[in-house]
Amino acid sequence: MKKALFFLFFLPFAHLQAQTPNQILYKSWQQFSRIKSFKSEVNIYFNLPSVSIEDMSGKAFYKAPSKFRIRLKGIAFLPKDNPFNVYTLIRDSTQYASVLNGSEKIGNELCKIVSVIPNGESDIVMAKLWMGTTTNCPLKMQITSRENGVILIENTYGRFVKNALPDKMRFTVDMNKFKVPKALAADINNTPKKSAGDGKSKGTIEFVFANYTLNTVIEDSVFKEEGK
Amino acid sequence: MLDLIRTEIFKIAAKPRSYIGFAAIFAIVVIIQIALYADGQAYLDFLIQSLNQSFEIEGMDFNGNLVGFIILQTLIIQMPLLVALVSGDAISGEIQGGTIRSLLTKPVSRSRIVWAKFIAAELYTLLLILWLGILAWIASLLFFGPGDLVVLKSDSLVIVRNADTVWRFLSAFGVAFLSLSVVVALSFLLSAFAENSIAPIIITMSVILLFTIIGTFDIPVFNQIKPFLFTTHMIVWRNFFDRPLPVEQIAQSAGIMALHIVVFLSATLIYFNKKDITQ
Repeated sequence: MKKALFFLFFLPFAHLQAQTPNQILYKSWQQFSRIKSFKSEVNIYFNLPSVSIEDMSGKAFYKAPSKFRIRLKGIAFLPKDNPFNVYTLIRDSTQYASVLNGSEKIGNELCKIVSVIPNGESDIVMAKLWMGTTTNCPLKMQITSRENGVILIENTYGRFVKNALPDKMRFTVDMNKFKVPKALAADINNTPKKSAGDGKSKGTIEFVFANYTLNTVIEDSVFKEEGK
Repeated sequence: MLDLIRTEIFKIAAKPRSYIGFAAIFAIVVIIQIALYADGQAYLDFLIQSLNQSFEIEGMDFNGNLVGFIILQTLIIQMPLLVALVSGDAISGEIQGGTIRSLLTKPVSRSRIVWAKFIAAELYTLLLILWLGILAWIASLLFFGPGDLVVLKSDSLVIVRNADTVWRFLSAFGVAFLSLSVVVALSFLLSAFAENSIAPIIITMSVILLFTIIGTFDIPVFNQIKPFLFTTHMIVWRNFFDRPLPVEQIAQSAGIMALHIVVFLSATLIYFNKKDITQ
C-alpha cells in the first residue's frame, strides 16, 4: 500500500527528472514558436547610475524569427540585445550544446538551470537559462555575447505565459563610468563624487508590457531605423 | 527719474562700444551653430561613447535645445566682459570725459543719478540676454529643430524631455540675468572709484577670471572658499536643467547674488555721494 501511494505521489514529477536540457529548452521554444509576431504597449523604467532620465512609454514590435524593436519618442537607453534572441538560438538543437547545472527556486517556481553553448558562429558566447519547471519559460537569462558583454534578464509572466511572453522584463547591464573632461562639459564648478571600485557599475532597465496583440501583420519598415 | 533713465539709455546707445556685445554674441553664436551643424552629432557621439558601449541609445539626435544649451554654457564665460564694457564706463566715463561736474549741477540727487545709470545698465544687460536667447536658443530651434535635451556634466548625464525645456530655458535666462547683474553692480562700484573707464573693465574681468580659476581647481583649500565667491553662484542657471530641481540651491545662490548686488550698489551710492569731484 505504501509503495503504491509513493508511486502515485511521485509519478507526475517523474518526467521532470527524466527531461534532458534539450527537451526543457525545446518545450519553451514550442510555446514561443506559436508567436509569429506581436505588438504591445511598453512602459520603460530606467535606473542607471550617472544617467538621469525619466521613465517613458512606447510600443514594442516582434516578428519571427528575430526582429524586435521598441518605438518611442525621445531619447531612450535600451539594452543592446534583442531579448528574444535566445529563442533563435534554442529553436534548433543541432546548433547548440546544453548542460544542466542544477536547480534554483525563483519566487515560488523551481527552475532548472541550463547552460547553452552555440556550436557554430554566433554572437552569443553562452546563455545560462533558469527554466521554470511549471511554466516552461525562462525566468532568468544570463547572456554573454561577443559584442555586448554580459546581460542579465529577469522575466515575470502573467496572462501570456502559455506563449512565453513576459509581462515584465528587467535587464541588468554592466556600465562603464561616465566621464567627460570638465572643459568639454563646461562643468567648471562641479566636484565629481569620488567612487571606489574599477569604474564599473550596474544599471537596470525594466520593460513592462501591456495590451499584447498576437500574430498580427507588422510591416518590415517598423524594424528599420529612421533615416536608414 | 524716467527722464534721467532715458538720458542714460541715450548715452549708452550713442557709444559704439555698446554694440560690441551684440556683434560679438552674433558672431560667436553663428560660428558655433555652423560648427555644430557640421560636426555636432560626431561631437555628441564622442562624448557619450562610454555609454554607447553598454546601451542602444535611441533618439540621441543633435537638436536646437542642445545647441542652445551648449552656446549658453560657452558664452556665459564671455558675457561678463561684454556687460562690463558698458557698466564699467557708466560713472568713470563721465569722470574721464569731464562731464561729471555738469551732470552733478543738475537739480537731482547723486543717488538718483547712480540709480538711473544702474537701471540703464541693467536694461542694456537685459537686451543682451534677450539677444542671446533669440540667437542661441530660438534660432537654433528653427535651424536644428526641437528635441530632448542632453545635459552633459563631467560625471553624469541628464536627459530633459523636449516638452520640459521651455520653462527651464526661460528660468535659466532669468537667473543668468541676475548673475550678470552682479557683474554690472561690481563694475559699477569700480567705475565710481576709477578716473578712467578701462580700469573698472579690466579689474572686473580680472576678478571674475581669478574667481573662476579658483572654482575650476579641485583643491581642498579652494573648496573652502568657493561658496563665498560670486562666480560659484553665477553658473546656477545650469541647475534649472537638473532633475530633481535643486530648488534650495537655486534659491540660496539667487539670494547670495542678490546680496552681492545690494552690497556693491550700496557701496557705490555711499562712495559716490561723498565723492569729491572738484579735483
